[in-house]
Amino acid sequence: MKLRISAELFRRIAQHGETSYPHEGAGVLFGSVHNKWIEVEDLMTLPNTFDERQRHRRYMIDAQGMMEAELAAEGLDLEVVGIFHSHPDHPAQPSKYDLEHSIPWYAYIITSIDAGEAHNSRAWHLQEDREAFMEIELFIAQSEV
Amino acid sequence: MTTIRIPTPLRAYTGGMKEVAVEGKNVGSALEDLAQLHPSVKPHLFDDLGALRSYVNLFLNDEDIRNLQSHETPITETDRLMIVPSIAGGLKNTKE
Repeated sequence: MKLRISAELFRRIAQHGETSYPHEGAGVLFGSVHNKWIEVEDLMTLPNTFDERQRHRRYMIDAQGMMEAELAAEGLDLEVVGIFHSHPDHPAQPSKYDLEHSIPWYAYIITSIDAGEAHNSRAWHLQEDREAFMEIELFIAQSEV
Repeated sequence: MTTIRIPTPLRAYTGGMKEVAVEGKNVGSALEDLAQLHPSVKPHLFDDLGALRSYVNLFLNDEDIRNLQSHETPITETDRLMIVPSIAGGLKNTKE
């Protein structure tokens, strides 16, 4: 799988991770999937509803948030194609907790936030058998001048 | 018939359908009809004991069924049910 996202949306993901620091920040990716390409065309940041004492290392998008995201995507004639979240002071790779709680099919963009600044982002895809994440090639599309 | 909206990760198990028309007098029977129409979706909705999986949520016309009468909530032909996953994740555990 490959994922393409505009530089502007990519910046918004990084900024959300930075403003959420030291907590994890999260949101939903809207777009479409064609021939192994995930095209991200919009996104929605959502509250991290995990217990506040654990938000520095856990995130949750609750049912109400996901329902609002589904309706927003529908209104834009797009699909929910993935989830993004930040890892404060940790690498941009899925944890065992991510493995246990993620859902196959969705693309997951993880952004590492080091001391409050976005360091790097990587995209992942959980295998159907839930055994492991596979990395997705991430393409940042620069806007045309 | 009542319509059930299928979230993107489950559409592989409903033949790619975004929405499925089902029969039933309440939410529980509508889900049973969905599982009968598309058997491969069943293990993704229910655990081995037949309970709805913890990350699977149901909204009836934008209202969480847990705020209504749960599976016993009556439905009509004009209603729309939405299956919505809740999402969680985070950093590695201290023991990893």
